[in-house]
Amino acid sequence: MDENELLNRLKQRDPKALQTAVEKYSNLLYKVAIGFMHDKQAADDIVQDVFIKLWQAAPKLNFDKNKLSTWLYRVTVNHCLNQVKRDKFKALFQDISKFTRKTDNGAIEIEIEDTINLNPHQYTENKELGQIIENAINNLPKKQRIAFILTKYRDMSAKQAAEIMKTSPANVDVLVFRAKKNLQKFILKQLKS
Amino acid sequence: MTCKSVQNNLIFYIEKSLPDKQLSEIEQHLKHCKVCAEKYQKLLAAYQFIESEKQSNVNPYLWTRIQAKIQHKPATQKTWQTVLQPVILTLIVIIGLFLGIKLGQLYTHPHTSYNYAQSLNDTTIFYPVADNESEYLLFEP
Ligand SMILES: [Zn+2]
Repeated sequence: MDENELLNRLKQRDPKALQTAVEKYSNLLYKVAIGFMHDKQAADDIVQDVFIKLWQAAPKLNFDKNKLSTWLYRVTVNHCLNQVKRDKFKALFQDISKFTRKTDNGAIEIEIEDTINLNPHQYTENKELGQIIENAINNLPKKQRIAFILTKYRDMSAKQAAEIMKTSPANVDVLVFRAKKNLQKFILKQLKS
Repeated sequence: MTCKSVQNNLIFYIEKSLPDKQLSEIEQHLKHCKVCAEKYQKLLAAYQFIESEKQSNVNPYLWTRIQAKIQHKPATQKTWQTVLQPVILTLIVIIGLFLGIKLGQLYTHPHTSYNYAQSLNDTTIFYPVADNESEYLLFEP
């Protein structure tokens, strides 16, 4: 079944077509999602949401030049970017609540950072490394991040990544090059301490 | 080769995406320079972590989970129209019933002082009430 036939059957609300799409694309989309999320469960959830979105949007989808796979990758990337933003926001509030405490009379007291002991040795080396890589990738400018994840995690060609990112393959190469330079700098700086 | 130029290219050395000459120069440098070798090991570990993430695969039960989701959710989402339709229909039926009763009263009591124009005046009382109610319902959650 080619992409066009698959889309036509999805438009007719054929669950078998959705199953075929899941079998064909879920692992490929997962590689992108894990590059953004660095968490298996979170990446699974992203991929699941993308297919539910496909099921809901299928009757309205029309592709002339862009293919179904391009649409799926774009939705995955957008969903990941939004989720990372939301997680950051949540983490910020968790950080604040870590340092704040309600006193008996209901007032909010802010504790001094020292009293909360974030002992780095509590983490396993691997977890620490994972955190550094997650921070390093999340710190990249958005386009560099997308280009890096598509080519590195999904092993995409610059041409395919360019189609998804609506840019030229040469520009993807430049973005990936800059991303790697930045990652190298960030990781070496973090691992120094 | 200077330490700086080695350290600037470690990531490409790991990926083997440099010209052969440069690769062997870095290789030689790393054999003799402890500082660069240490940085190389750290970056290599980080890059291997990315490789290990890449090796993981999507949940094998993903389709089962998606299937459960799409079966529980109706294909078309509920819109205001679909929610309000039965409410408006019920209102129309109630208004119709009241009108029917009013008109019925007119016919069963032919000797009442109501004339046709008056009866219309009476029944129109129901219209603004009904209209207000339906407008109000539009903003109900
Ligand atoms: Zn050196």
